Amino acid sequence: MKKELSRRDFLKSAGLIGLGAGTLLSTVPWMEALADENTKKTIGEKVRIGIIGPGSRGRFLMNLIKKNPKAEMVAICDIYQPSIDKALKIAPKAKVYNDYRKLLEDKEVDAVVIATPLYRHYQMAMDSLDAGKDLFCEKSLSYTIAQCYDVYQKYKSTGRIFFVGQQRLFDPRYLKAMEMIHSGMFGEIQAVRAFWFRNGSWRNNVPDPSLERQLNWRLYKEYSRGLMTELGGHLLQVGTWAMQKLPETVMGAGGLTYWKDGREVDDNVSCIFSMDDGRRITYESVISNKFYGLEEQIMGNLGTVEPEKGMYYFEDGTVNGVTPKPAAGFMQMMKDVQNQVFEKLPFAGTSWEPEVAKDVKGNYIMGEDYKINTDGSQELINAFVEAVITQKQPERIAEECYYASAMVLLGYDAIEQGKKLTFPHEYRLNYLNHKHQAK
Amino acid sequence: MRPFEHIFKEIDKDRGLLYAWFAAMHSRVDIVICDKCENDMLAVTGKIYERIAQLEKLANFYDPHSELTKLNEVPAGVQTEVGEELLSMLYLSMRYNELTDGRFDVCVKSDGYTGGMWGNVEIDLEGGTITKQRYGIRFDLSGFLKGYALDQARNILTGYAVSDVLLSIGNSSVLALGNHPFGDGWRVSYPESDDSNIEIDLHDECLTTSGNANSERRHIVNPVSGALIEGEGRISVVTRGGAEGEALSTAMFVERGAGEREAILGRFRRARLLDTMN
Repeated sequence: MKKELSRRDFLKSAGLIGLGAGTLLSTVPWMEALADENTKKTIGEKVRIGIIGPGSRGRFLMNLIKKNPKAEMVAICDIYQPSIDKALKIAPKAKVYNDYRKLLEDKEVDAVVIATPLYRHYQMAMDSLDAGKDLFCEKSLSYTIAQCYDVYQKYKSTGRIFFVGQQRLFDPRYLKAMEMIHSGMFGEIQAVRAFWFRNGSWRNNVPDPSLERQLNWRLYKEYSRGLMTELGGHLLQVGTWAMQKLPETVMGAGGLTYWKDGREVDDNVSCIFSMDDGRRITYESVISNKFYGLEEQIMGNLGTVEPEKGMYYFEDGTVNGVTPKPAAGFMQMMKDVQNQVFEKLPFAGTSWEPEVAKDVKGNYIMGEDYKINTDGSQELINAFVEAVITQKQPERIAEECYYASAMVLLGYDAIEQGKKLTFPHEYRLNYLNHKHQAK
Repeated sequence: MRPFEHIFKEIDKDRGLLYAWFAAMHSRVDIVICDKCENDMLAVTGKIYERIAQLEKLANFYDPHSELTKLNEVPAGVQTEVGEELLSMLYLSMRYNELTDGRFDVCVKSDGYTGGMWGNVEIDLEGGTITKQRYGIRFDLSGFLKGYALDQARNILTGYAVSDVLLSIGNSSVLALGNHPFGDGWRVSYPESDDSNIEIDLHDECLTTSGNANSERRHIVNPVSGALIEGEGRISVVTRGGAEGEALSTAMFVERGAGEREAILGRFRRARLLDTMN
């Protein structure tokens, strides 16, 4: 029997039920925003949100916001009428703006959600924070690592609430997996092999050729950093979350190998991020083959986790350190004894061989009956709403989000320059193993 | 919650049979105990589990935090204090190296291994120290630890006055004490060839097997050549103790000469070599 994941189940899975806010797992302090004892205090409050860029992703977020009784969408801003029309179906009472700066002047807007093409994020984010609005920006945060750093500093100086759309931070599978990883169940994480493979053009249908670059902005370098910024940030953030370590260097390579349709961004990329102790996170994306799909393979010396699949595996083929099955020979002997039979035990021989990868069935992170009904996006939005109401920025979320974007942009630079790049010290935060050094 | 799974069956009003199993030493452990009280059997199984976990923590070659790894990382010429148990295991390993004419050698993973490494190791039992006099000497107790653990389990069982037990660590290291509930000793079988098995009755002794389960799985280094032993094959020995069983079975698998084998075997009291695939 499949079971749905209720909100209470979700919180329970994240260790939030029965715990005070102060007893949260040290590696997921941002979950404090959703602790029962905190959300109860904000019942009846209402956050007024403006949506900048209600395109397909923007409307996806709008539908999540609509489900939160503590939020209402009071304004939208776009220059493409079909998007405005669709957005108004979700938020019929929202005021419509064609210039985001006008939306930012609206005193009835407490917070903004930015879901525009990547190259617009920077100025919009900076202006939003300057205007005193709390900010939820879709990933990646900005078009360059320097811009990301500026936005992060602006967040610090203004003291506004600041989230980026890294929903895995709230995905129950990932939260549970990280709890296991950080407990040492899989030993020290040696490597993370992250990949996102698709087979599709990644192209939107365009009603008029003049709209090609506007609607297919992801395909052009002027507006987008391609597969790095659009897909890589989720996976790399999982990698550093698992390792609790940030990279020193990155190497990369990429190419346009299949979708040669006039686009400019690569359709085939690969990056290697190296830690100061030699451990690595690799990221690959190809959009002309989907066989291996999407995964972050988190590899410790004792086991492996595949959070997307919701599975984990031990090197010795055990579950929670306990051999999953009794040995057949011994079980037979238990039966023989009941029948008062003295028989041989057919088990002795060379060392018992653990299951090898092709045979290992693995163990379920959330239990066999778990049915995925959230990827963390709803909870991410809910946490943002709670933070805006309480004006309390959850710990570490800004830093996790900053680095997710900074890493993909550094990887992009490595691919473009064909060089091994060191993470610039001037763009490091004082976070985990990184220390900021002014240039 | 217990760190092992178990099944209990009542045999009659005076006796029951407990079967427990758990993972340890990168392998599995299976234990069958016949005794009076289920709780006592669970308690002794718990003690054995703890002891095996303790040994693994102490002497796991692959654990960067084990005492063994720390010793392996000490450079040559440095006199190093070593805990009593690790010292004892290494001293025993050295003695078995001598008794097997070097065919059993826990130093085979040393840098530039050439055999005769023990000549460059000073063990001071009274002072509790070890000094490696040559660069790159590393001890790997992986091929010794299971047997040593059997001996430690035997001590625990004796302490609890439990006398009828069959304990297997990874199928290749087996301790049989006392009797099956309806038999004399414990009867186990092991493969003679691909399609036939040999049965053996064990009486207060250990059955230890060394070999390659298949041609792909090579893991035993020949200390004479320094190379992994190729090909499928296995050999089993019956000994009084588990640690000596590990040393002898490895030596017998490595040494193929009949005369040499006989000479080595003769140095282990009450040891028997079983005719297996080799």
